Amino acid sequence: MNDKLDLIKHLEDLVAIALDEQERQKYAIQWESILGCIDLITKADTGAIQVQPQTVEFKALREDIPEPSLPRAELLSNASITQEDSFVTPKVVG
Amino acid sequence: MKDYSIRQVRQLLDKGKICTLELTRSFLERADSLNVNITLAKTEAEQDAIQAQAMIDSGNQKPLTGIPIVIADNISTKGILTTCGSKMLYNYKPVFDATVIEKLKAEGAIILGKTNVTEFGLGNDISPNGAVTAVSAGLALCAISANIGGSSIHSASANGTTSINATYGAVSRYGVIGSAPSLTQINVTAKDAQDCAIVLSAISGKDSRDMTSVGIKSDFNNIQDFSLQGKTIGVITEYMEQLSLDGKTSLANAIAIFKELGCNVKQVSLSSAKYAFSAYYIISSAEASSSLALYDGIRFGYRSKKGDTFEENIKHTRGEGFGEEVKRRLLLGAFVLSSGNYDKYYHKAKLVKEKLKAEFKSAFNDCDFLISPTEIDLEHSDRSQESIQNLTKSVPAIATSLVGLPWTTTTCGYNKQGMPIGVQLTTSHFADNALLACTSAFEQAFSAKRKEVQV
Repeated sequence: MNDKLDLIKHLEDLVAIALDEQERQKYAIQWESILGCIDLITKADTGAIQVQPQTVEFKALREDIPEPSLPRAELLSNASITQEDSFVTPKVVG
Repeated sequence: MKDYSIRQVRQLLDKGKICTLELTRSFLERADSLNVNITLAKTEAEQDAIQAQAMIDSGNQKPLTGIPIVIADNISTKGILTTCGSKMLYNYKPVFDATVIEKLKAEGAIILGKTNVTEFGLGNDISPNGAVTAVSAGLALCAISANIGGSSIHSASANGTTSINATYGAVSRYGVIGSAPSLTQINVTAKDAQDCAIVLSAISGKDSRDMTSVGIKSDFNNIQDFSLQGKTIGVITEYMEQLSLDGKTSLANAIAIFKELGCNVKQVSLSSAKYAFSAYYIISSAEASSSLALYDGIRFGYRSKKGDTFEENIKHTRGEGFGEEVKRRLLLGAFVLSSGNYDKYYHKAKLVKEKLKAEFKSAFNDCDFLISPTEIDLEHSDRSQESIQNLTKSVPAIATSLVGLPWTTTTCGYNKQGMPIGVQLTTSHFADNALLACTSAFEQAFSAKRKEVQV
């Protein structure tokens, strides 16, 4: 169980999520079952198949032409904390 | 009016038998009275209705002018609350419209409101897909949703509506709040294939803001005169063994109808289909672990009060903002992409996807269309895993969506309880027009046969 808990803690860091202890325990208990959803794939015989980059071939990219940006006030309107013309974040540099 | 098709309402509007405001209010009142889970945009809808009426009065109407439509809550609608079923997008009002919304507005369609979705499209689909249910319940004449790997097909099948998932790239995904971009396609649900064709015609086409969009001929309106005489329908054998008695009977009846319409029927095998669900689960989780990284609570949506540093604040925000299934998928996504597991899971899933694509291609060498049940009861290594039980039923749609093919689902029978049973039809990339025509021909033959039985 401890190795599963360590794995979940490691994955939490990778995806930048803080789980509480109860959640961490739950996912650790479920882990084998979660892998059970996908383990069937290891039995697939894929032989000489190679991965293609995309489902549909892309055409040329669009021209790089500057266009007006969205209005700053509208973009800031969805943020929970703003100050003047900026988003507010916790301190990044000590 | 709730049982009318888009075509019927178009005629009434054009002849002046009803006006757009009256029509819009009747649908809004119905949604209100049934207390359904739709975030209505009443003020905006009534304003749109007045503008639509002006288009009609001046003779400038288009096929969708004045037609009431609902939009799934994972498609951006400027100024209208869009939460994607997640606390993470608490109080979020997009500052731009998705391309499909721009196109609908240009047509003069009336957007009644937003319907519920599973969180970031990653849920188990236990809760019904609101967009599909809205059409079935007569709350709108059409619904547009963003479907991730076929997850809404279950609802469409259970609700007796007709849906089309267009070929990947046929409809722009700009403004879709997706978690798995390679699996996300725009889905249109309406009363029948002809209505779906009208809507798809309006929303498809190349969009410079979505590099995966492809410019294809977007006239889906001429599907009425399509003949199935001499076409070949392939029956996917792997799914036939996974059906209930009602399902087998209904599909056999559907195959009989195609034969009566002049089709040749042959058996085809998709041997990799049994791995489709695992591949979908791996790829969608991996893509979600990357796509959902942008949700940090700083610029929009929910923000935790915990965490003194930048990183800690973001971790708490995401921990509190995402729901149980999304967090499970994010953890799994990071796991399958990590060193030591990448080849075993993610790369293997991509190989299965390629093999499946080759198998579909081979099938379309001999067949014009493939037929399968919409839902199956596929055996899985762990059916006790509650989070996947309903999703595994949608394997026919998941397999098709994995390789970006178009598919439709419509009703082909009813079970003992009188609930609709769905049939799925698939064809090759960008043959959406023929697919809708085939589906429409089947619907008309099925409807005529049903009336014969009832007489």
